[in-house]
Amino acid sequence: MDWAGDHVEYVVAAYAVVAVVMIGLLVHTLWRAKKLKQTLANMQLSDPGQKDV
Amino acid sequence: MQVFANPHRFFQIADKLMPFLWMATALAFVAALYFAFFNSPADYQQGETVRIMYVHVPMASLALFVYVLMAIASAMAMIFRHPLADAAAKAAAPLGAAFCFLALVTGSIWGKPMWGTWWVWDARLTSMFVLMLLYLGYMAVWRSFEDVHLAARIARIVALVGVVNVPIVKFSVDWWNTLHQPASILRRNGPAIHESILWPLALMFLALTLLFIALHLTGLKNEVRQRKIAAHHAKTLGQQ
Repeated sequence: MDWAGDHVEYVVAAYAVVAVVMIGLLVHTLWRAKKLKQTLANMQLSDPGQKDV
Repeated sequence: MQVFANPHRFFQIADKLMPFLWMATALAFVAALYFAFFNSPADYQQGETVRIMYVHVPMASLALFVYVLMAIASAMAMIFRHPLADAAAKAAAPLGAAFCFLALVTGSIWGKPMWGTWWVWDARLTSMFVLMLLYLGYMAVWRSFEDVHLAARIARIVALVGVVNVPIVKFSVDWWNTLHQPASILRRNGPAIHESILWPLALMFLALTLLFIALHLTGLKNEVRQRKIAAHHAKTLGQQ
């Protein structure tokens, strides 16, 4: 890739938006999983697919 | 198929697959980004901006694919009353909405240097915008009703009615005169683009599909966890 080429700023902007949204989605999903898992453990309930507590 | 119909068995198998899925996703992204930035040529007309295609096209394809998946899951929930079907559709919606949003934004960023405008109300862009509204409407339905069963019934209808828009998006460039180019990959005569550009595109499509599967399975499990917590709360309240 020619980083000094024409319109490179548009390419960088497009990939930056994609990275922010996808990483945001990933972090949010994993954070929610952790939080719900913790809530289930506090209630002494098993996680889906795990043996009953 | 019988094994996967049991939610408990489904999650047991999914849990075993998840580490490999995350690893495959990471590897596919490394390869796709390497090819997209360092091992593919600039276009003779579009120059470096052709690299936007490697994210724009898979995002648009996945936005359509996820909506079809939601409609199938909604139909399964309606016909077979499978306990995971509604949850699968609900978990897919934010992912499909994100793909649709990114297809619109990256398309707009690509459009400015190539077409000289960020946006035109042509058939492809407008039908894609309608798809975005359908995703938002579907998600809004789930949040708008306290009665989960009522929300599920209305959400299924939104998903099934909205799927009519999918072929409109796909064939809009053939049915109407649009500023957006016609199909160049899924065509009767085969792809119209050179393989040096086709490979990075295929790799990025693979990476984003794997990411979707991993996020969808995690989201689906979150949905089941959420329902389990809600059921426990309801049971506790009932006992009081």
